[in-house]
Amino acid sequence: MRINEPKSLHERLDEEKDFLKKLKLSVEEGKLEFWIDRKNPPNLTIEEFKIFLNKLRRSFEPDIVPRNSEAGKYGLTGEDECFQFEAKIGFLGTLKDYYVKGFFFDKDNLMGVEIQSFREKPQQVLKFRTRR
Amino acid sequence: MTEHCEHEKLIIENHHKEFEKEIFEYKASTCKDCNAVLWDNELEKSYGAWVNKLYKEKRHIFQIQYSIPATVQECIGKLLERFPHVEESLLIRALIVVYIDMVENEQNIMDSLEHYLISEDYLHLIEGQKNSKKIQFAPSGFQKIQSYSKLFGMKPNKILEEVLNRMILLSIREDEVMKEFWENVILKDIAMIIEAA
Repeated sequence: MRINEPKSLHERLDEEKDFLKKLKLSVEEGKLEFWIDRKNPPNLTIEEFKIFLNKLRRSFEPDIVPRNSEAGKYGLTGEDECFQFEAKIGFLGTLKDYYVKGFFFDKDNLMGVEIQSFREKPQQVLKFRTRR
Repeated sequence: MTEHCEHEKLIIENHHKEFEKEIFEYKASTCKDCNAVLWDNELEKSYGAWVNKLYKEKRHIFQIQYSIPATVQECIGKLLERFPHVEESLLIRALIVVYIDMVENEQNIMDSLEHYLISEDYLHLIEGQKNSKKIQFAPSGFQKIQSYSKLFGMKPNKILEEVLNRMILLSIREDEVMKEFWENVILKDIAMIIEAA
């Protein structure tokens, strides 16, 4: 039995049951594989994703869907299912909706997350109570 | 191509990323179906090093020009008196960081603030002559403002202006909750940032 030995990232990710905390931990301390520049609709950048993630505060459960692709660095070793969710974030009175899809890897030794999609959901921009 | 492409067919291709008209060139895995490009930790590190080098060579790139109402400027001057020997630019950067990283996450403060944004006091604060100013950021701060700009469809200078107006509004309100928050939380955070700079 190990005493006072810090837990590895894998152990912490494995134990973390809260999806949002697990995602944040993967992004902040693990490996982040992030797809940018896809066309129609375009993905946003890694910097924008980190700000989006930091603005999410309340725990939630994402939708879970089977993963189809085995391509990519972690395609064979990543978890068999993808998570996907939509979330609204706000700044200076402007609210926007974003869509995220990805999967954690490796399934037997969690160390990071691959974000396949991060993009704005088409919508009307909501403005409230701010005079300029 | 599906709307939810999982990037199954990959090739390595040359790409470039534009940053303030400067070009960062790199090679990365690319999806043949949707043209998405894989950005990983190694690429992020290389890009960060490239931006830092750019900061050393061309600091003017990391400046943002903004305008500030005369009354807000006057209030910043008074606030500066509480931090002797501190340059105004450092105080302004601290105000911006504290608003973005902390104030926006305090829902009760945001609710009060939104309420006062439609008050006559706020209109008086932001009306009148505006002075044009420039401020320089470190790469991380500059990129953060750029990212907020893209995420929320606001120009960087408008973000700075709105944030400063809101912070000064917070500082002058007599509202008990806002006053206490300003004195006991915001000023302490600003002091810590200034001390660390």
